[in-house]
Amino acid sequence: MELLVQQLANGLMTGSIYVMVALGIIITLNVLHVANLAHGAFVMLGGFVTYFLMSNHGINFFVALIVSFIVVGMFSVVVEKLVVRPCRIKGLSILVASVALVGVAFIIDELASLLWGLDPQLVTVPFGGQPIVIWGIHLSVLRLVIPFIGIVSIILLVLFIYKTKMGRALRAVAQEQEAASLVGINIDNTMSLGFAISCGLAAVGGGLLVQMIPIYTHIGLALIFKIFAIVIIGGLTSLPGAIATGYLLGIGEAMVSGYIGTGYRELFFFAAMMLILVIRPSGLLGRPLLR
Amino acid sequence: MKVISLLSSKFFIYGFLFTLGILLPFIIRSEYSIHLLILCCIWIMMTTGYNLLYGYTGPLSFGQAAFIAIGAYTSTLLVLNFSVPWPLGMLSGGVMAAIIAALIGIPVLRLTGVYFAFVTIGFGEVTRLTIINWESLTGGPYGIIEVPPMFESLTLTYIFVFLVMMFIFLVTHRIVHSRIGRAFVAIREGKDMAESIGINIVNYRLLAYIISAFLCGVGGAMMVHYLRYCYPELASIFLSVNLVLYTIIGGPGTFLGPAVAAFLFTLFPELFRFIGDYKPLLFGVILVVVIIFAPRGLGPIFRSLFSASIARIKSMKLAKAK
Repeated sequence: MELLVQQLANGLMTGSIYVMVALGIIITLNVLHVANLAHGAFVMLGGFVTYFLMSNHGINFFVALIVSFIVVGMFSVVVEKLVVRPCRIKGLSILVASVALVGVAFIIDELASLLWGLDPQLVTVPFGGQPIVIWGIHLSVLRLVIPFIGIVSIILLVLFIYKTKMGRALRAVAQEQEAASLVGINIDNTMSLGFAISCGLAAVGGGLLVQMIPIYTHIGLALIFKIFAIVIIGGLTSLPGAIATGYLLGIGEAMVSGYIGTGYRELFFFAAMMLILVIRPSGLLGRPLLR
Repeated sequence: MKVISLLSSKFFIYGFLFTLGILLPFIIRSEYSIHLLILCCIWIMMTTGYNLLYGYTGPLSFGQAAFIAIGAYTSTLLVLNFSVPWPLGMLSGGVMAAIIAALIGIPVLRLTGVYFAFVTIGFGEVTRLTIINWESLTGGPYGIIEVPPMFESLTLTYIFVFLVMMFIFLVTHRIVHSRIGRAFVAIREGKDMAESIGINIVNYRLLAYIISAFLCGVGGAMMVHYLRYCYPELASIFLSVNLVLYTIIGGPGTFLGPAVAAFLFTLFPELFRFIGDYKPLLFGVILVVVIIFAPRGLGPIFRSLFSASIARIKSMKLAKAK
């Protein structure tokens, strides 16, 4: 019973991070029409920014997360303007533009390795060592804080997309670019905004990740595959699909590694992805969303 | 006049290049250069296959390294455990890769590009982790050392690899200029148009995927029999990205461009050793710059330069004849 609940908590932790990162992929895919294969690199950057702020400068956890959101978000705008926008202006296909982003991922990873070395880094438990005991089950504070932050950021993002004017602009651009520009939406700025939000979110995900597991400069490429599996299973355009799938697979992964063995985690993701592609290629909740 | 026309005929040029290729180890005589040439031949072979897939029919695969590893491990295990002769081992490595490609491709190639790219990334990663975790079969993260070599002599190895590469070059050339190849070109030039005249895009894509997987499998097997070391990182995304990089920089859908790019990119980072650690960084920068400034690759640019210079030589010849 204790193992079950603990793995459930672990699943909620990783699930929250998966969802935050996957939502970013969906936003870039629908608003900018590019598969952001460099997304993992932004997760890594966020993780390292948070790590340095907390470990070297002793800055508060929440402040560090917000700072990494802003820093990485601003950096991602530079990437958008230098790489994604020229690809769009030249009318390159979504695949070619995505390959350019693989190049970006390589550049970011390598520069980070040159700057910070190859050693894995981990923030040493920010919230005391004392676990909380609920009905005789021990849970560390971290296992409660991370899902909480995750859920709060997901709710904030959904509110942003559906309730604010800028969110409406994002949805309009995703739906129909020309019509959006006809009603006075600045397409370029909206796309930059979309990219920045999605990468900033990835950075917060990285900031949470670095509290749980040691991260290294090449973690992005290893992580991105799981995220894409979630995006495919949830349906490439569906926000609720990604949220549901992210938590489902996060919990499923924790169960697999708890009861079968950690070596089978990736296989679990891949099997789930192939199964969905055979049975229901449009994904669990695949329908045109962001509309 | 007859001599000149013979000298400039295609047959002669190719024959000359072919002989030069075979004689190269006797001319250079430096072991390290021959080592590089062997690697070049293997990469050219795999890139040619990848070009059939991405360059001609369009699906972008980030997981070809999985087939490299599958071919490598299949051949290694067959040769080590069942003492199969190594040429047969290589062939079965390629066949194994092709079978697995068919199993993956049949469900996935029905879908559009992004799906396929995502799935292949996953496939490469899963293959790598499976190899690492299946220790009883694959030796786990440390790999298998002392893989039986092809030939003891380096020169002989080079000649064998070169001949195989040439053979595969000829075969892919035949494929590109056959009925299948015309379908490939039709798909490259316009997917919807090709479909409207009755070309089954999914089947042709699957065919290209299987061919390229086969070549990657054979290439991977060659690589481990040559390097005598079989390790899980053969399936890492870096090797897959190499293929994507060579093809895109060389010019997807041109026959020679990707091969030339594979040759140059295998050779140069080794010749300029100071690049060393910066290799992935350099590759990233080149990839981004080429895609933004020359999205059709460098092949077409060189081709127009080349045909321009040929035309100039011809006009000079004409002037002389007069």
